[in-house]
Amino acid sequence: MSRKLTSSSLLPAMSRFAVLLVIIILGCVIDPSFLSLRNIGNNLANASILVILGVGETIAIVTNGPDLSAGSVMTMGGVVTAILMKSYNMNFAIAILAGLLAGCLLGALNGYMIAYVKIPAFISTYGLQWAVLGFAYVILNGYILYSFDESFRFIGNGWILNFISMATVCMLVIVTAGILLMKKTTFGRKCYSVGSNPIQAMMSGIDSKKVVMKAFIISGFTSAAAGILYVARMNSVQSDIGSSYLLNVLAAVYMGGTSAAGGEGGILGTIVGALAMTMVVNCMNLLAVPSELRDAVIGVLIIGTVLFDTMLRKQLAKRKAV
Amino acid sequence: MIKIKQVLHRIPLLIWFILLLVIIFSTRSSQYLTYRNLLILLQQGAVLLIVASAATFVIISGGLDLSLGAILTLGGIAAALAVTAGLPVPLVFLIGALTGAVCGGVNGFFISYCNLPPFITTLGTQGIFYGLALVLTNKEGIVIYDEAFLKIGATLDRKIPMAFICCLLLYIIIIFIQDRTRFGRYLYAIGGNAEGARLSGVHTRFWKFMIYAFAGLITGLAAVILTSRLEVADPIVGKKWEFEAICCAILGGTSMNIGKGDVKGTILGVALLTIIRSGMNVIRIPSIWQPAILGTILILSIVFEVRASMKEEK
Repeated sequence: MSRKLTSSSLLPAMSRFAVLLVIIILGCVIDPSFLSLRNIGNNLANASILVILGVGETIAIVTNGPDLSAGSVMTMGGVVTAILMKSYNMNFAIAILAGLLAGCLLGALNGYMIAYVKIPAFISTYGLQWAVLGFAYVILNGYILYSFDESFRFIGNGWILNFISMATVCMLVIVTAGILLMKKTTFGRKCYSVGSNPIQAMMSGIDSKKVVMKAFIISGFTSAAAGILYVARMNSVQSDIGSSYLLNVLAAVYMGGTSAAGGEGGILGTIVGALAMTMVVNCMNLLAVPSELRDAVIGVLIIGTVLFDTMLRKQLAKRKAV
Repeated sequence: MIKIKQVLHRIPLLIWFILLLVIIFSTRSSQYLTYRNLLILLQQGAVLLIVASAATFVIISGGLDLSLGAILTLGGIAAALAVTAGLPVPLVFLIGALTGAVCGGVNGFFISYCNLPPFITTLGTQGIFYGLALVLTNKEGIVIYDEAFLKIGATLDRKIPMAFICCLLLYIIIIFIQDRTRFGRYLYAIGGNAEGARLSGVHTRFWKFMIYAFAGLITGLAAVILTSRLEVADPIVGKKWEFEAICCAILGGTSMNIGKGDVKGTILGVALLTIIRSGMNVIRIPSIWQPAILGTILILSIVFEVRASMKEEK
């Protein structure tokens, strides 16, 4: 069974790396310093926020459906942490914990609406997105907060060995945790099982409501973590920092081969997708693509990859049938 | 007596809720129950009514369109460009409708002919349409001066709400299409049981494509009216509209998964939303709080509505 699965998912996985390779070559053509150690380090650091968002998003999509509130929850995590440090003079560690907690709570709210009230994920999370954005705006009161503690900023901006940034380290920690969770624990198995066939999962005694709930709490957690990292990197926060990340993270996850139908895919693929996305943005910067066109390009990429994926799967299914 | 009770029982809960809100708001402000305020409410709710009807159609068919707000934006910009180029009003409507229909057609093509999930497709096209809108306008709103065009959406003589009248006409046509045409019947057939519809000879792919194209088309028409009412075509005017439209549809009794719903109910959802939004000003909620409160109310109302309809089904 497992062998069959790998052979059928090998081709899509290969195609991801091919896409990544094409983008890297394209980058080198545009700018010879694309593959310099510093640019790679920068790309990794830039990718870190997207990858962290992608870890939770992947788990949510594998288990049930997309978490369209990821961008707003990211904003909220950053805003809560920032306001606690700035206006209430809290220690940055406590502020970070509070930000992460806010993310988990919002994730739990999503999970409750999806698993217990049975509102489809793409409606409940899309709705929560707007409400959360509204509250982030209220908390900031329309201001922009900036210039935080040195020690807090080190999380996002510090460099080790001149090319590994602290952001990359944070990313590696969360990615490792996510991969271990999905590959080595029963929870991970349950996620795939609930995602691929909810009825079968229920029959085999899995409490799918709880699994969905947990998956969305994790997604809330990683989104908030990404927001906090963003604040630490940029050293400023306003109420729309996450809004541009939603399309990016979905593109990264789908490009990484996670199936929109659920139950298939993984975090490793998402990392490849996120790296590809970051380099696409890097290339667009090098080419001086006007900023207003970026969402359009990413929209094309999302539809293109999902289209490609659907067609590839169809072909594979045909071949199997023969 | 029994008859009255039966009639009372048949009135949806939503109407009672709307009445309650109106009473609360009118006690708070003597200006609330005036003709002038009614005009403002009608003008504000009119365009949302059309976009929400588009959302209702798509949801009845079992799909979802997150790009409606972006189509509204792009349609408005196309109309504004046409007006500035000096085209007559009927042509402007045609261009708005065409822009909407093409955008909707793109959605429909990917969703129906390529089998892509609706939310991914429309989220992707949302990005594309907004990108186009920003490029076409150079990130700035297009202000419109054309007198004849501005009459479509204005409140004439401070008495006649033109945007409302236009949208009401369109709404009646939409109801007619839903209830009396083959398109309307297939809409329910596809939403209820697409496979069954296909087996009984309905060309489901084509009609599903048509549903998205039609949703785009009426949103494009709504965009022309909105642009005329606002007197400007803003490249981000449509943000959040798709969510409000979906909320209105669900509040109006349209269900996500069984091809159940009716655009006639959607008007109640639109009324509720418009009344709440204007009411927040009446009871003096600071503007900075308003998006948060409105978002919360909308989410709670969806939760409430979905729970109630699930109980009903049981």
